[in-house]
Formats: sequence, C-alpha cells, structure tokens
Amino acid sequence: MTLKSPASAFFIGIMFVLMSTLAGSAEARGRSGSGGGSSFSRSSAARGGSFSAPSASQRTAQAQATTRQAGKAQGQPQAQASTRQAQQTASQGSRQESAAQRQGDRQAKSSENQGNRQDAAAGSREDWQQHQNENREDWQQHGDQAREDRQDFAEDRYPGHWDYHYGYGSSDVAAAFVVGTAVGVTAGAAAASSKTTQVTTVTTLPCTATMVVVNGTTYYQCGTTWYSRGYQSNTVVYIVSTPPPGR
Amino acid sequence: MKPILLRLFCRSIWGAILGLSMALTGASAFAANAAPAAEPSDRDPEARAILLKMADCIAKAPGFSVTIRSGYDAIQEDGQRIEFGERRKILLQRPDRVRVEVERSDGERGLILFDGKELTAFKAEGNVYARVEKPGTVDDAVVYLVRDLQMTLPLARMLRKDFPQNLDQLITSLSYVEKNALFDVATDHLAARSADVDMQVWIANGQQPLPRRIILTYRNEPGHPQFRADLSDWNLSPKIAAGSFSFTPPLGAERIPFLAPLAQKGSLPMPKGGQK
Repeated sequence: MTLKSPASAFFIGIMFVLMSTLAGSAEARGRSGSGGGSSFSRSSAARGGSFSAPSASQRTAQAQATTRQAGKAQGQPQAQASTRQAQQTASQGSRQESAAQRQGDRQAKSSENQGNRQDAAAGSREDWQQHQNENREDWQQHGDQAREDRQDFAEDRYPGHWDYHYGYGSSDVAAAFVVGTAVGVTAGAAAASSKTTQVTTVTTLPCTATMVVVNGTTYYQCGTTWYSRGYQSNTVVYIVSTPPPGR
Repeated sequence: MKPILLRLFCRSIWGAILGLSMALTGASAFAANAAPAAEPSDRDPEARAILLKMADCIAKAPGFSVTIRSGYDAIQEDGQRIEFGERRKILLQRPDRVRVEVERSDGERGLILFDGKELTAFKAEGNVYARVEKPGTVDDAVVYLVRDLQMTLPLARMLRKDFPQNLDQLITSLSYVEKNALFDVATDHLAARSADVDMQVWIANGQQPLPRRIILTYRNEPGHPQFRADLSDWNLSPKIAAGSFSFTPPLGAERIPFLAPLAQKGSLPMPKGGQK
C-alpha cells in the first residue's frame, strides 16, 4: 500500500475533517445500529461475564480522568464522538479551521462536478501534504503515548480487573489501533506509520453503500468516503479508508 | 439461620478439615493468599474448600471441553431489563491451544482459535476473520484477548491456570447456601462476594467437582445487571480432532485487521506511562 503517496495523504486529510460530518450522522441515527435491527441496546456491564469489576471509586477516578469515559459510563455513548471531535478541533487550532473551510469549498465543488474536484485536489495537494504531515506527527505522538498506556492497560485502568470491560454496543465514531503489524492486511487503513496504525471507525455505514472488491478487500463507498472492515470487540466495524486502488 | 453455637461448631470442624486437606494436598499456592485468621467470619471454610477444589480441578486438568449457555442483562436507558444470550463451546488443551465456538441469541456465529502462535477470530456473518501473532500460553492469550482486543470471553479467568488463586484473592465473603437437588447430580450451592461482584456457583458433587451454574451480579452497576451461565457437557479428557485449533478460512473469507479501540485507551490517565 502506498500510504505515503500524495493521493493517500490527500485523502487522509479529507477523512480527518470529514469526521465531524460522520459524527453528526452517527448521532442522528442514535443507537439504532447497536442491536442488529433491534431497538434494544446490547450494551451491558454484565456482558463480559467477568469475575471482577472495578470498584465504584476506581470508576469515579476513571470518569474524572476523561470526559469521554464519563460519557460512556453514564450511558451517553453518542455524546463522546462529538466531544472528542470538539477536543480535537480545539487542539488542532486554526490550522484545522482553515482545513475545514477548504474542505467545505471542496465538497461544494465535488457535488457540482467530480472532475473539478480532481483538479482542485491536484491544485492544493501540496497544502494537504503539509497538513497531513503535521497531522501525522500529532497522531504519531498520540499513538506512542497510547501504546505505552496500553502496555499496562489493565494495571493502569482497573488494577486486577483485566477481564472487565464494559460491553459497549452502541453506534459511534471512534479512533482505533490496528493491532499488531498490519502485514497481510490489505485494507486501506489511514494514517499508517512505522509504529502504529491509527484509524477512524464507524459501527454502521452512514448510507446504503456501494460495495466493490479490490484485491480481496471489500470497500464500501458513501459519497466521497470509502470504508473497509475491521474486527473490533466482537463486531465488524467500518474503517475510514483510502479509496481502493484504481478509484 | 443456624444457632450461633452450631455455626461455631461447624466452622471449627470445617476449619480443621480444610487445614488437613491443605496439608495433604500441599496447596502452598493457596496458603500465600489465605488469610483465615483475618477474616474467619466472612469466608465459610467449608464453602471455600469446595470452591477451591472446583477451581483446582479445572486448573489442573491438562485440557477440557465444556458448553456454556449464558445470558446477560442489558439494562436499557429507561431501566428495562433485557436478556441477550450466547452459547459457547470451549475446547482447551494446555498449555497453548484453545478453541471457542460462539453462537449468539440473534443467530450470529463466530469462532476464536489460538494455536500457541496466532490468535484468530472468525465471524460467519460477513465471512471475515482477523488474525494476530501472539505466541504464548492459553493464559497469556486469554488476557490478551479480553484486555487488549476487548473481545468477550465470559468466565475468562476460569480458563487460566491461576483460577484458584484468582478466586481466592477476589472473594471477600463466602457462604454455603444449600445442597441443590435439581441438577442431574447433587450440587453445592455457594454464594460469594468480591468487592463489586456477587457470585453464586453450583458445584457438582463427586469425583469431578465442576461448576454447573454460575451467576454473577454486578451490584454496583446501574440496574444490577447479571450474567448467568449454565455449564454442561464437561469433559476433562476430550477427544481432540485433528485441526481443532487451526483455522481454515471458508471459501471467500476476507481477512480484516484486528482493531483495538483508542477511544478508551488513549484517554487513560497515565500514572505509570507518565513516569517512564
């Protein structure tokens, strides 16, 4: 996979700012995607059948440590995507804002004329390249840190409660790691680095997607966004991806 | 309610029996965690002996197979309690092989395989599988599966060799409820509590003191959801068909990457990581 190619970098940039759009659509759909057609949520603290559970005080500390976690603990999984988005947007500063602005322009053009979009893309590719490089560094640091946390995950989070995890089943836009080396994985995962591969996922596609299979990988297209699949916490989720080769 | 004198009598008798049995079996592992003097009133020695014998039986088995029919409560936002169910067939061969067939109440089927080198998870719906290299023992793989991959593997601690020590550490109070006559064999019904989980377990009498039913109540979670499991078809020397632990992708199966959620892990406080 040519992740460092200008085309990939360009698309990754688009994906990054598109997250806000995705978050919006996920919220609009509510939790309808969580139960496989059922309106009942499968989310449960009892789902994992753990012999242990974190104490109330541990959970409180955890909740205070992050608004995201608190959102989930209080059964508001939908809120977290937008919260996270807001945090990210804030941390990205004006760079992000200008990127969003450009994205808005591009989307407008895109809906008018696909061909023009390609031209526009080529024209501002250098900007995007730079934008992406900066992004990548941020993500790189973020990933390193998160990976370090992960090494002692159980100890850090709920000491002794490695078998406890809340059985989420709600629709959500989230960030995730590709686990292990991505060797043999042909999915068009975004923002690959030598150490970790960071992706954005959704639990349900925001549209009735067009499906294509390229080199054994199934891709789904919603508008200008492409997805491939990943295996996360017992479920198949959709990874915001680079377009399949030849698209 | 037993008269207090009778209770004391039972305890001293069972304490003596427990002490004797520990000496005979050389259960030094338990001794490290045992604190009979510190909490004599909370942990019934008789119940503890039964519980640890059960856990020891599973932990010491070179392999086993069991079917777990389980259900868990999903407490809805309006407080309504809905049960979802699963059936798992577990085949385990120590030290480094495990196979878990999963069937969900909504019909979804899956498979988890570990062959000592790789962990594979297959999902029939969508015909997809993910695989990651994870050389090690079943004990390692189980933790990795649950903690890092966030996969659901109910009663995961039961698959590890340190199950007895684990239980003994977790449990703060333990009582003998009754001898239950409703299973195909007589069972001992025990009730245990850990800091945050209430556990009931029904353990078969006889040569193979294995758990036949387990209920876990998460009493500090909103709505006090329960996990309930019936364990059947126990076999401590299962026949293992060739290829039981290796994965042959079905026709057209697509390999997809395992993902670990960053949303939770990336946002953790970092008391340790921060010091590094």
